[in-house]
Amino acid sequence: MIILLWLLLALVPWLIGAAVQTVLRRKTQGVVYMTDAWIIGGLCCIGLAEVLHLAGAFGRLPLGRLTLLWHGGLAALCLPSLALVAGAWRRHRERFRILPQKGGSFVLPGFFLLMVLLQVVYVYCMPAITAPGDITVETLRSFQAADGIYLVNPLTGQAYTQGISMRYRLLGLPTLYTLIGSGFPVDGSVLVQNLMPVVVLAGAYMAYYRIARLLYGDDLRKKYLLMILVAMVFWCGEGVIWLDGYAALHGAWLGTSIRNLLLLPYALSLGLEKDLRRTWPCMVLCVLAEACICITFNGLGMCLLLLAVMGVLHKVSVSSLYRHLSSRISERGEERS
Amino acid sequence: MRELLQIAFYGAGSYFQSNHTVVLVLGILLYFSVAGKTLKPREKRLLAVTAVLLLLVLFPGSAAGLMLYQTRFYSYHWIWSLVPTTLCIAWGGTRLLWELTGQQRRDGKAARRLAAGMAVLLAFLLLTGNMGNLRSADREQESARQAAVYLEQLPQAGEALLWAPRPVLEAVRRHSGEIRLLYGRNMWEPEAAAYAYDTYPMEQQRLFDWMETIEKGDAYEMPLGLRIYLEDVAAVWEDGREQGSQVLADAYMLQLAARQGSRLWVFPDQATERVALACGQMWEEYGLRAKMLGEMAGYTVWNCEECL
Repeated sequence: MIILLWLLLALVPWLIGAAVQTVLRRKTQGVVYMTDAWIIGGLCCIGLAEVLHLAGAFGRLPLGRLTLLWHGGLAALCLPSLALVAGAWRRHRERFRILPQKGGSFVLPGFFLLMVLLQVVYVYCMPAITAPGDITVETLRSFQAADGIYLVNPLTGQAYTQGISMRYRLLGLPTLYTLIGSGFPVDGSVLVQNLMPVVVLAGAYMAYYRIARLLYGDDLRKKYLLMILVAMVFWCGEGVIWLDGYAALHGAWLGTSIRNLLLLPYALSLGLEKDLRRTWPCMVLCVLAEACICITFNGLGMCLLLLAVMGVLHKVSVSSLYRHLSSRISERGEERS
Repeated sequence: MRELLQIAFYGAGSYFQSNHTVVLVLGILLYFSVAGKTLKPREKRLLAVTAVLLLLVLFPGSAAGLMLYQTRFYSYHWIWSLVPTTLCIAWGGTRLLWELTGQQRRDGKAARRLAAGMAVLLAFLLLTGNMGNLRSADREQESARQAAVYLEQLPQAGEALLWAPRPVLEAVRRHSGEIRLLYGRNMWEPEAAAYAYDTYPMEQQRLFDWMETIEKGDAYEMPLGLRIYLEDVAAVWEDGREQGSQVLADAYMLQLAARQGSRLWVFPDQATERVALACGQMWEEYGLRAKMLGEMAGYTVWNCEECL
């Protein structure tokens, strides 16, 4: 059953994401990359879980019914996606890229895979640590015990006396984990603290691989060198909670970790695209996913801020004033030389 | 706002203490802006974004604005999430390794040079990074986990509120959602208390203080609040009865826990004698009987029967 869970965690987001990309890129007949598809599908799954979470938290639906709706919702997303992807695959098989293109030696990809494998073993097999302020496992247990969303205080198991903050009530991450674990004989704490971090770590490398692809195109050696360095930074920066290494190796199930490891690099890669008009649906997905997993009450989240900064920089770089100034500077440089 | 500005002003130094790789980011930015290397448009954009975001988090005014934006739920250090430090180091490292180790030259030694370059870069990362040995399950956690497994099997566990030392309470809620606690982790961990508006009555705070004194033993000085509470409310330590006063105080605290709805108790096994004395006193003074259900992994489990 655990193997089936692993398979579903790999296949379902990919299938949904591939269908979304097939639809989004139907005019340009663009390539559907496995990494992009998995991330987009993952964001769609977060969205579905959030809808069910809101239904459970405000509509007081029991967990059993939410689980049914989750499975039904996934089936409703997967079946049309399967038909869409199968149709597109039959017509344009070259549009789907599962593995990187051939070429180059296996040394760097192999070394990278070895590092990732070590990290996966470390994350999956080592005892979990307690991240300060993290109550995800307790929340999942309380959902299961009370058969509902936020019916009791996760830290005591007793009914709330003063209530819960509205912004926290909206966060759907514990519900996502509860729903993923439903139907599989996997312990809640193992699911949250060992299994999901592997999934998030894989997602993080997919997001970074997307950036590597944008920066280096089909140059496999450079791409894998960048990925190896990302893995090295993770290993060397795991001592404090706000560092990416900690997020990747010790607390990848946390909302902030998913944001820092997956959503922000993915949003950055979207901002690096040539034509920003084509990527806006994925940007919106990113911003919404962050709102579902992190507390972003005063603002609208880090992803939106990052995209806004990138948008402003893009506007400035294409403005006539900037072009005029840069040409003047380069002219002066040439005169001096 | 003034407070935020102050935090932003001093926060950068504190962040630097925890993450020296910022130096590598600054070095990469400086090198590629001064050295006049030809960069692709995307690389330029990546550098520009990194530089702008770095300035935003370093400058106290903008950093305070960012803190306001990200909500006070998160501390100053979290605004650094915006700066793509990992990516900048990885990209800069790739670019530098490629150029400095001469990967363009196909002389058969490129791989060796690259390996040497990577070793140097790894040394830089180890020197500037922050590695901690965080993943070691200590003995206390393991004992608490065993206690949680034991408690789950007790028939009383589903009905009564559990009162236990911190590690056991933490482990119990992580292990099972069925066991309800007298108070939870939000009693002693401010970050965990931020999710709900719930607060604890003074009696439960004193019960927590008392459990801390029991857990930490004689070397731990009783908190002043608990001492005053016992003097004022429980009226112990009167008439200079120092020897018997501890038993009286302990008995008072046990009956207080029972009155608060908790009848399943866990104590460290080194306090068994003290708890047994207090239980005897509790029976005489308050008519409540407690008996030991069993012991496991350095803890004893007690049940207060007359509290039903």
